[in-house]
Amino acid sequence: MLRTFVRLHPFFFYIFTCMISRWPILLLISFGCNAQTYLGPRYQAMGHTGAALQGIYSLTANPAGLAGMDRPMATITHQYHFLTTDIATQQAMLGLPTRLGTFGVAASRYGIQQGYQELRGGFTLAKRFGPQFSVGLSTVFHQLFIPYYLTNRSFSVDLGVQYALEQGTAVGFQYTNIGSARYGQDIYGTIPAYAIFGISHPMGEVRLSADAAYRSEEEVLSGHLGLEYQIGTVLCLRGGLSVNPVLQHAGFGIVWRHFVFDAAATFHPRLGTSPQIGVCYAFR
Amino acid sequence: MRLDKLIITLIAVLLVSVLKAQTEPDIWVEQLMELTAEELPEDVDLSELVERLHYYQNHPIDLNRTDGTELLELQFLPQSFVENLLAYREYTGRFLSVYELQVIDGVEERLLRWLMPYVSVDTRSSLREIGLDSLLRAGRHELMVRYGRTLQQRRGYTITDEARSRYLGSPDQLLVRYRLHLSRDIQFAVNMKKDAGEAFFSGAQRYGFDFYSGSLYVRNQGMLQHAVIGDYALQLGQGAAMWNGLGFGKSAIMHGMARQATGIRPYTSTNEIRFLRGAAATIGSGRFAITPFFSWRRMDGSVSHTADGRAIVTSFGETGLHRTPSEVAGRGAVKQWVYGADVQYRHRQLRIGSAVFHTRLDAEVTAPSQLRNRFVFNGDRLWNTSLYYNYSLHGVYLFGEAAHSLGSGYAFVNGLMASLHPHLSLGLHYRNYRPDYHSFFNQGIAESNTAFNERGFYSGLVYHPSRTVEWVLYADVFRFPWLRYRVDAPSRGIDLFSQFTYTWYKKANVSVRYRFRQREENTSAELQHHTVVPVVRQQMRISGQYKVNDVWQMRSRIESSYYRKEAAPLEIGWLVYHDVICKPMNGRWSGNARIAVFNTPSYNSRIYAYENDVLYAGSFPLYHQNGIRTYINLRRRFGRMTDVWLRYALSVYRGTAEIGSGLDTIEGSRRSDVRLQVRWRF
Repeated sequence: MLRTFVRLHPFFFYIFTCMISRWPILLLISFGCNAQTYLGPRYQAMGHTGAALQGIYSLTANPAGLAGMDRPMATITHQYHFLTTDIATQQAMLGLPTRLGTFGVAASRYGIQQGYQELRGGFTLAKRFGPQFSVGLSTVFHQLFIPYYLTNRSFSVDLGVQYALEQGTAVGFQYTNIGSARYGQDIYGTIPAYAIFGISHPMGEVRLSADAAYRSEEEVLSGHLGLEYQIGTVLCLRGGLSVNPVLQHAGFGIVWRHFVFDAAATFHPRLGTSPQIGVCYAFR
Repeated sequence: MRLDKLIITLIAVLLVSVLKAQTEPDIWVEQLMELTAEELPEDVDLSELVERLHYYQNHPIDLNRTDGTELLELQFLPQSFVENLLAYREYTGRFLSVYELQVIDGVEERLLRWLMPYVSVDTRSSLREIGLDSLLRAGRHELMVRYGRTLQQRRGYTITDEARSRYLGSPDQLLVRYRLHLSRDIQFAVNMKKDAGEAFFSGAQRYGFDFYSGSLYVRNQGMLQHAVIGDYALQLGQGAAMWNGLGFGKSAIMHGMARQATGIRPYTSTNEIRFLRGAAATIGSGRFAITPFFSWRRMDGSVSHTADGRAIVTSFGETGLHRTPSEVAGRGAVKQWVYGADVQYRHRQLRIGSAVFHTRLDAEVTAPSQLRNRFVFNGDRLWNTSLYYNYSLHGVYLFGEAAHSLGSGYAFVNGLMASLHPHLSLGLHYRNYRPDYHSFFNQGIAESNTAFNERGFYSGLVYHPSRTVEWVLYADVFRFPWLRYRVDAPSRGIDLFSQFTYTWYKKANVSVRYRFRQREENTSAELQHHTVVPVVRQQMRISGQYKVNDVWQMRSRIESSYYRKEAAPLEIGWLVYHDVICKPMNGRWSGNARIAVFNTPSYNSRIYAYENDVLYAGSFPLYHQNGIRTYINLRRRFGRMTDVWLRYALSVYRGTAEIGSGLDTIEGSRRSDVRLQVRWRF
């Protein structure tokens, strides 16, 4: 009946499409960096840090961190965003260490089913140059799809470096979306561009991680601090804090045979909780 | 003697050299105040803590006899360390030397340096061991008299019209303290106090002083662990239901987030509000201890009567000042009865307790009919219950409390302190005080002054990679689910803190602090309905102290504060001061002095700073407006029995014709205070 109505009345059709398409856009965009700068559950729980961390989840952060992988791994994650469970991110990732370097593939979907969808597909190559220095480069395909309204595509490039200091300390730098690629002049949806400097430091069973991120479009500097505490060989607890905006993060990881189960949650003082789970499989 | 015990003791004694440094109670209290001052109420009385530290310095705590409460009274020991100490004693037997403390889990070198002057291992002092005659002969008396006065006249003293509000007494301040220590475990204390503006032997104070306080305290007598008759303070759990006396919270000392309850203690402070008056005792056997208590006292309050003759109280006095006719009218106007009991079970590092108490007033509390008062207490009687715990295991200290006011709301506190690594400690603290939770004695850790109507989560880290460096970080995110004074909507806020300290061993230290606070308040715009807007306060502080030699010490601070609300211009206040401290080891004279320059555009950008004073009278006044402040404190010893202190403080303000407001107003731009104190010990 609704379809019939909008077919018969082009003006109402226009209004209708504006209503159903733009409110989620505004809602999604209003999350700013939180929603679109997606991080895997381990990094999310560690205070939204990751520039100086290593592992499969570096496909969502500093691509150079992928070079730290020593075996092939595959992972899938699911995250609900603030306010409602209708807004979600799903991501699948694969990391493959080879003699040429470590290759990574990631695909993700962010948005509301039937309302707003941002699809991303990325290819990453990370390579070590000596025992201390590693570089990673990602090319990412973006598609923004809003039913009855628009479909737009774009490409972006991410670059990252990491340097291992003494006693396990690492520093990292990543520049996401070099060149500030966009969907188009008239589109609300943005591809965030930001630079992050990070440092991580191990202390026994603890790993501390701190990032400073600068988002060039908003000209905002934010800080992130996280830690991971390993209890035995099975469980690790994580927590962290972001400032500007202030967010609290917590989570845990469980290792079971070849699987790693990660859970994380971000707490926004006004918007509520954004939980995420991830399952990772490490091949032999 | 067990061989392993002997070996531990020998090793510990060999390591003794690092612990030789003596700690003056004043230094610890100064540091404590610098770290915590902003979170304490302005009228907090530190004399109780200073007195306690001095007492334990002269009468060290016996590590083989303590049940932990005396150690907690020192305030600087984490409860997890005290629990580990007791568990160590239970496991290995009696301490042979205080240097065994070095092998207890959770100990740090700095902690030990602070602790050593206050502990020993070989004392005796049960009443059974000492006869009454020798007890009286060995008794130590201490009498102290303090006189103070502001030299300029305040407006309240000049008004002669009896129809107007005015000060009824003289501007003199007088305090008399008497202490009698009969052995280590019996103490008799009396305080008598007259504040400036209060009458003396006339008017409402026809019996002399305005405030009298006294207590008789006995402890460690078999099953009778503690007993007080008179004024006492009771601290249970995390303070969500019952807490009197001093308590610290959010500060640069992270372990302060875990409240260290000391149970019953004699109340020896001059604060006239936060205490109980009656009797209490802790009787223990094995793992159980029970503390029955009762209190009867008069509270200040604004009392009126309804048409049907019922007495109602609309507000309680919080200052203890009785200077004007209206203050005098409310003096002791409300009678309060409290009775209840607390039961504790302790096994190794686990402690569980439960308390029930009843509070009754002879007037009905009736809050003004405003929307923000929707959940506040109304009535004349209240039952409170509390269940609390703490547990220490492998470097992790867990603590919490659940409290309930029967017929209304709940309060929950839970937290942990964890040593994740020898160089890294973590603190987490969750609090949820429901808007309809009530207690007359609630002093739970909270952002606001009262621990009601608040929910928050605190997370903190202390990183000390070496003994020279310490970095404290915390974030506290909180919300107020219901309306508050000057906040006409549910609101929220954040508090971020970072302090980096570098210490040159025994020589100097410098610290840099940054703090960011944001809360919500009603808008300043004149609207029909207030909306709430964020208010941001920031603090930047660089402070340091330098020991020139064994006699002279320097201390400096540069601090700025920033305040912004809505579109109003950013307010920036600043303070610079320099202190000189002279403490000859054996000299008759000692003293300290400060010169401070400050400029704050308004009260909103005020800055707090600790000030040395005569003994037991440290304070941390706020610095605001534009001016210069200086003070000098001198102490002179006369033999071993008599000490005299003299203090002179002067504030000179620029660009103002009068200082203060209301009856406190002083004509002119100067304010000077003198204080003289004499103490006899015999």
